Amino acid sequence: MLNPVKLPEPVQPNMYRYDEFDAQFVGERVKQFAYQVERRLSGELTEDQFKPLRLMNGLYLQLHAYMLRIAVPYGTLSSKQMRKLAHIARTYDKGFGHFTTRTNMQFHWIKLVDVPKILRELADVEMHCIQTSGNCVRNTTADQFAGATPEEIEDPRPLCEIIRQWSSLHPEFVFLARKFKIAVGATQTDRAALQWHDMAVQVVKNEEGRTGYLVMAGGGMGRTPYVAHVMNEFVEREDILAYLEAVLRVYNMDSRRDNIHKQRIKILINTIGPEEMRRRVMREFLELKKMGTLQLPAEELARITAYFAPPAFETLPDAMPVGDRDFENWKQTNIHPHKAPGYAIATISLKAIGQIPGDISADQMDAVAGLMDEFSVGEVRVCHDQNLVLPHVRQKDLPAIFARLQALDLATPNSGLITDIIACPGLDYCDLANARSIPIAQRIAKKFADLDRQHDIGELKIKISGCINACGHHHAGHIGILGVDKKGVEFYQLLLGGSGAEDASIGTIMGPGFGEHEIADAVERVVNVYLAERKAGERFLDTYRRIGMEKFKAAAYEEAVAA
Amino acid sequence: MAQHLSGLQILTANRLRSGDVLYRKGDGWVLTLAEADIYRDQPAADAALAAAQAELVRNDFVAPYLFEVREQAGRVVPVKEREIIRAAGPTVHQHTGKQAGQFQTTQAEVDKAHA
Repeated sequence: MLNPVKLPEPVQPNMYRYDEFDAQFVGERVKQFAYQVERRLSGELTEDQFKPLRLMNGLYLQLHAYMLRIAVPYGTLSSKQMRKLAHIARTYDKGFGHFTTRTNMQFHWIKLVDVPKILRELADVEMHCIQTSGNCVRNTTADQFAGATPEEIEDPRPLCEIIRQWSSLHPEFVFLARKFKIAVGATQTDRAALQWHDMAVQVVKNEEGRTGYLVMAGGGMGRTPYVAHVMNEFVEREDILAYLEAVLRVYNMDSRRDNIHKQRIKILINTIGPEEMRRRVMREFLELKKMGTLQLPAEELARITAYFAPPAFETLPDAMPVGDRDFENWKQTNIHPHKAPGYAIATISLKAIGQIPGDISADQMDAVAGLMDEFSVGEVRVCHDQNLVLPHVRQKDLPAIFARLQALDLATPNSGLITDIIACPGLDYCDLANARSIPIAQRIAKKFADLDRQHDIGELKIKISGCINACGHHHAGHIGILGVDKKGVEFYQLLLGGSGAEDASIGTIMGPGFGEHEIADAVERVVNVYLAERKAGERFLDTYRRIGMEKFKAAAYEEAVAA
Repeated sequence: MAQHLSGLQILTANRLRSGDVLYRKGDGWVLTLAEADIYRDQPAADAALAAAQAELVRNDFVAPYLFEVREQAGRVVPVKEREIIRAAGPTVHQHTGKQAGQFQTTQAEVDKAHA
């Protein structure tokens, strides 16, 4: 029997708020892990016994200290939560944090003895670290423009929340063969890398105009990259949990468990074939449907959806302010259309030239929280590309927001451009990494710092991973970079032609790696081939797909040899 | 692990309570690479590792292992980049970590835990 707990104050009017069960569940988990830490420190638990327990709570031991990974469900944060992260950064870390490609927050200088206190503080603002690690269903991610973009069929966040509740400590899926990542989108434009997930859901309408879900499975990066297969083109609303459960059940039952490199769902599906996977899933789905216990009642969907009711938008005319060149540059790349007239979506770049992708200081977090309260109904979104988004800002406020962001060094006008680079923490922090990622991102960003040049190059996504685990999504980069270790020395392989968007594709490895001091120049030579070869309107990716690898490769290596 | 290494070696671990990087010195631990004992032959390195593994039951450090170093201009330098970064701190935040005189714990606390 669970003890009654005091519910936290509501965090945000248009976000999910913990009910009594959520608060109880997180509170009990905090107490449980505090006790496990105590037992570890006293020696009652050995490291081998403790390690899986700490991983279940998002706690890793890395190069310099413990790293704590905090879940940001579907990338949505309230200002209160952002201030709490700033407080944790100041009090328990070194004054900064790092947003990841899973839209979570990582702190890299945590002491084990502080973790119970941190978890209690997080629970106060309805946050936790549960299932941010381990072989379980991880934090569900979503389109960062959810609930704001005019493109979408409906806000995908209610489904994300339903998936979060269904998958949190699901008794059948707590000990999967490997980790399992889910993403949800609701637009044709894919901003959530759907096809790169173990399972993805896209909100769609069928020919009759009814809203339902397209389900994909078997995507993934790592040492064996695959783009997902469509499992079902249209699942009815009330059946979605039963269908997702069927996919997970087949994976859990049929996946290998004898080889860690072959235990993701992508391996299962590409071994038995997508048709056989669809057949097995359908068989389980029909059984689950017969039982009827996983039907999603319309009332429950409505109840969850109510949490995400759109804010009370003012009646405003569409009137985008005009400003100086800096403001106009920022508008061009970092501002996107909003579904409400007179409103806009503003991307806050965490990619200032020469800075660390995804890093944010405690002072910046507090200042962003202030902007959220003042201009964006107290809400911010974390993107998988390691930026932030103010989802609901009045167009007339954009000059003030821009000025405030400029003062914080958060107004870099580079969203979607070549300096908007994804990079994992790499060997500077990560115990798994073979090479550093961040310094390479910094060097490339500096090389292409000139904004006119960036605009001339246009959309070009560079993604850098420090090891084959691919946290930096190198397989999905238009230009991907993979750090490798050769006898203790860092080398970097180039991949071309990947995409994490709706035109998803797997990057092709160019050839042998480049040295730490060669890679940025090699990237520049590759970009120069694009500039010389492109036809009107072609992005880098389009040109690569048209002309293939050879000219890029020749330029990259011939000049490397000459140098 | 030791059998795959050659040349000069140092023994390292992480402090359980704080995660801080530790280096073996005598039968205790120090916080900086420069103070660490250097093992010049495999039997000495293996003996140090075996002693540390036997001490794991004390629960003040975790994951001991040996790594290679070389002597360069009078300084001891790890062969692998990973150990250079562990010894100094992240190359991208040079105001943090041991390179900036920041330690997760104090030498007195390390000594006390091991006493």
